[in-house]
Amino acid sequence: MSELQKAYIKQLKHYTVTITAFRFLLFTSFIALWEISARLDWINSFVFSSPSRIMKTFIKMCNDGSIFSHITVTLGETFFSFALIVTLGIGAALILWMFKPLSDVLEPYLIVLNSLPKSALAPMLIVWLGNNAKAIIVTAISIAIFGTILNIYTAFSGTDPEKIKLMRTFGAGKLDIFKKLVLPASLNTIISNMKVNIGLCLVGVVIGEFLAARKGLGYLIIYGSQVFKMDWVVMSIIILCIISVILFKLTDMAEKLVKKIS
Amino acid sequence: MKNILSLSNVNYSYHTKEGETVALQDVNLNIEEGSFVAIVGPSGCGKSTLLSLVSGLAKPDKGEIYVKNKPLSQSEVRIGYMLQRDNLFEWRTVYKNVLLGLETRKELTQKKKQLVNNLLEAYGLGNFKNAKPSQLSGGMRQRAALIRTLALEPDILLLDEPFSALDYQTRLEVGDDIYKIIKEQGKTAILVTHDIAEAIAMAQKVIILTSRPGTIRDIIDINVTTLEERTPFTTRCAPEFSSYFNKIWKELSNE
Ligand SMILES: Nc1ncnc2c1ncn2[C@@H]1O[C@H](COP(=O)(O)OP(=O)(O)OP(=O)(O)O)[C@@H](O)[C@H]1O
Ligand SMILES: [Mg+2]
Repeated sequence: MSELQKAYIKQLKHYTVTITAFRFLLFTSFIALWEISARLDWINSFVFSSPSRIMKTFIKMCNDGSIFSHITVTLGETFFSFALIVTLGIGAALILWMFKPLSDVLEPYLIVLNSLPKSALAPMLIVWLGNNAKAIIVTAISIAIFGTILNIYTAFSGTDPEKIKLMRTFGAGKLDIFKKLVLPASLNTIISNMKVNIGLCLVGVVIGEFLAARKGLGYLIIYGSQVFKMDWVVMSIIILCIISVILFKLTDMAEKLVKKIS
Repeated sequence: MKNILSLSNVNYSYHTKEGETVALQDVNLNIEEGSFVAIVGPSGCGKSTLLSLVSGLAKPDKGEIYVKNKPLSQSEVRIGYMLQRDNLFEWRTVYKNVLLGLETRKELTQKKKQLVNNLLEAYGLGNFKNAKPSQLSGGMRQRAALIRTLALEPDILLLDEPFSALDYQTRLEVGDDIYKIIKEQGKTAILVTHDIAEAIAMAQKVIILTSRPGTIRDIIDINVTTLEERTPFTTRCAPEFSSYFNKIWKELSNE
């Protein structure tokens, strides 16, 4: 390694360390300022809560186990709706790709449904399906499914026609062309779509829980705000932040894994 | 020699909203078994269309195509079609790419795998079996595409401007290689090209098409005297080369 390269690497390391340090500083000073403001009554800790009150609430709920059941319910609903979106999205896009007339008929409807603010559907879905997990999962699915179908279908139909011609010279039928060409060629689009979807599913589940739930973090937020237990509300929001970071990391890892084996 | 392929009065048109494009009109053609034939013609005259018809991807509107005296649809003769671009799949290794045709046709036996391995070794790709296509040079990619076609053991090979994506130097080299490969295996080959010199260098017969709608304007037999065995390279050095070139060039330009 030349001297210049060494100097460059050193400078790069120094930069990374500085950035991390400032991130940490920002976080701790925010927490500290919040706590101090609450202690010195600059802000009303009953309305704005405070880090120590949140910690206390969290520890209490850990001890009686109630927080775990809320988290499990929300996570379970998120994963379930995510799995359904993946299968339904790819399945529907496949059917549209196989039958061009069908996709021509349905395309305008999909576009309208996709541009609709989907949370508007939630109250109606709850009236139809009842106050239960089914309604929450359908709400979460309704938020992401139309965009997913359109997105994946566009990727499918964008497959290089020359490559399709190549497959046809091998006597391939539609299903063969799909399996060997269209699906692997669209894998990147599907994965980046799924990265967005896992977040959307969490949003959908929380919206659903606002309206119809007896458990879950969304329920805790709504209930907490109604009975003025802001500690619950803010704690739930923080837990949701952590969950969404973890989910994002998970999809990131899944993406790397898929890239490696394919 | 026997004809392996004959076209009689073949017509083909494309239909779009904007109108009808007559691509081929009354094409009559006989191709002998084991021969190497080149097709030249102005851009858009229907050369690729002709190959699509012969490969069975499209059906003539009128006229018949016979392969070994049987209608194309009932024939058991195997036809391999090498497209202009290599169309290697980036998500597959070179080896997996080369097996694609066999896999799709559900003919992937141990024996065929052996054949493919031999081809890869013989044509300088043995060490690149597990590489991704993006790691190959243009010439290597084209050879991989040829091996993918040859793996299906076609009796007739259709080549649609297979060298057009290559730079001139590589083009000459790969042209030479591919010619030898095809001759070694005794295949019948039809090569579509824009390059008159390439057509003369590789083929025993050059078929000249008119501009659209394409019909056959002339068929020229190429007979050259070469010191050694005839290859594209020695043909380019043959004394008759330039007069063939001028003849074909004139026919193509005074339309
Ligand atoms: N799918 C299509 N729809 C409509 N017209 C087409 C289609 N494919 C080809 N054509 C038209 O048919 C004519 C013949 O096309 P073809 O691709 O066979 O020409 P070509 O001789 O191979 O041309 P080039 O030398 O540029 O490759 C062209 O004029 C083209 O515009
Ligand atoms: Mg062409």
